[in-house]
Amino acid sequence: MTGYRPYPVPDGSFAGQTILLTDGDDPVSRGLAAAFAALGGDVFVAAEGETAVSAFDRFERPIDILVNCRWQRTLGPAEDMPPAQAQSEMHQLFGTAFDYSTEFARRRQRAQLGGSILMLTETADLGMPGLSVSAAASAAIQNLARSLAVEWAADNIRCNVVACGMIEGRDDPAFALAAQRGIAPGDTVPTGQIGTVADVVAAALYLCSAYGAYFSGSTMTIDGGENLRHSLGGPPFSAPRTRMLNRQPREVRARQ
Amino acid sequence: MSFSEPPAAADPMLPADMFAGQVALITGGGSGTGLAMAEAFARCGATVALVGRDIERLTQVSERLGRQGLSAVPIALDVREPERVCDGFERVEQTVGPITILANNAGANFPLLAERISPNAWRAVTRIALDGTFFCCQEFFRRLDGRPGAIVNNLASYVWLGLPGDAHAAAAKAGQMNLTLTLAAEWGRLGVRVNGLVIGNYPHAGIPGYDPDKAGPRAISIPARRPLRAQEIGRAAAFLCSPYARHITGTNLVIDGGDWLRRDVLKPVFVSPCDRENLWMG
Repeated sequence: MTGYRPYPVPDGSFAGQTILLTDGDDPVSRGLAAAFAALGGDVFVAAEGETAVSAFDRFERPIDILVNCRWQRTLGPAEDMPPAQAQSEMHQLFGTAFDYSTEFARRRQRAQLGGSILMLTETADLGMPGLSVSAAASAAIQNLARSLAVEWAADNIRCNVVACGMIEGRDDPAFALAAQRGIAPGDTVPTGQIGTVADVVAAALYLCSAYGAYFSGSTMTIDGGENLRHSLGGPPFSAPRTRMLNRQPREVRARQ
Repeated sequence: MSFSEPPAAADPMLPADMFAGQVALITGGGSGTGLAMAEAFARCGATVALVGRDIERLTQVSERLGRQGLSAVPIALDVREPERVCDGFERVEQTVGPITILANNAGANFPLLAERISPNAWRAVTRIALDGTFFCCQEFFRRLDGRPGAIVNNLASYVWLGLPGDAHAAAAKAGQMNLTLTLAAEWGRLGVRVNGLVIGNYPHAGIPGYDPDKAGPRAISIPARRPLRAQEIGRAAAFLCSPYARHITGTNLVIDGGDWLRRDVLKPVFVSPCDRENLWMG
């Protein structure tokens, strides 16, 4: 962002506002926390496994903006994932977003103060072979955001989504796959680069700020056209399970 | 409770010099969404070339923007003819310099049942919205000659939902939306981003039969319970064309106060479009 200030919204855009993030570990979550704070906001981060009621009570002050930013990508064939793990991943992603969003809404409705919710997800409109559960959670969260946008519109509570492709610095199995195949991740993207934390932060700030006041139920996709790779050619199709990280052939695994 | 009002238009959100030295060409820039975008680009430092068929109107609008300290030039251009598009872009570049931002807003629309749309009426709408958008994108790209650029296409949620009484414009816009996806992939590696802005109901004087007294009542059917404001359209378009959106391409961003998501488990009784007094208001 050479030559420009780091954020699309002016200094002080979140002065006097309190922002709660449901995660503080992922690089995007850390970037968001730093940005909201730099623009005048007071930022709180929920603890791992903490329920919404407990988090909202713990912070003892009204939350104006909620950012559901838990992120998880577990690469693997669906048939290898035990149901308990699938449930746990759905709970981490969708369940947490539902718990925090509804608790946020109940409190904002009581106070009649309006508010803004942002969901960070994957770009999952077309599914994602190899990431079936986290993609399903992303799609569910986006669909939830659309329903909540309308259910809570009369309370002036907005609910939007930022859907991301590959983002630099994340613990993303796509990067390990790229290393394994000897290619640069950005070379797989039409724009020739992967996204940065700053790209996600810029979109998130805009949607959550006063300038984004007419967005609700909207999804901003940040993937450099990564999902517009449709063509009539491409490499010969092979089962996704054969293209995953360090996998042994299926027969070998079956024998173990 | 309605959605909060946004900051006033004079506050551009983005840095006031972000597009300094750049030229943004806005088709349909004389009114409505095109004018809203033009004003926002200009408030971020761009020189805006307002193009359209009504040069008198474009001139008045340019002068008005000029009085606000914004840089705007009017150029007559009919987007339906590729030769004229080429000529119009040439005149813009000779007047104000290389174009690096294109906002496709030119459109035509009127309510008609599909069986009553004459071939001429069909073509009147699709040639401006779909053909015109394609010709402008093509000419824009050719002239960039390797320089980075950004395109924003004016869309509406009927690209996904259709709209009874609007088969021509809905189909043309759906074509524009799809063009956004393909061009983004074709030109991504060449530094040209292409996005769509899916704009909600925006009451303004450019709409035939616009009645300011009725603009309010329409808004109550939108979840936001207030109309979309010009500066909100403009900021969204400027954001998509800005360096802050450098990794956003091939997307269709909705700004409509939740309007396209209004649904009910049990909907109101359906009135067949052929029985409606007001075709679009079923």
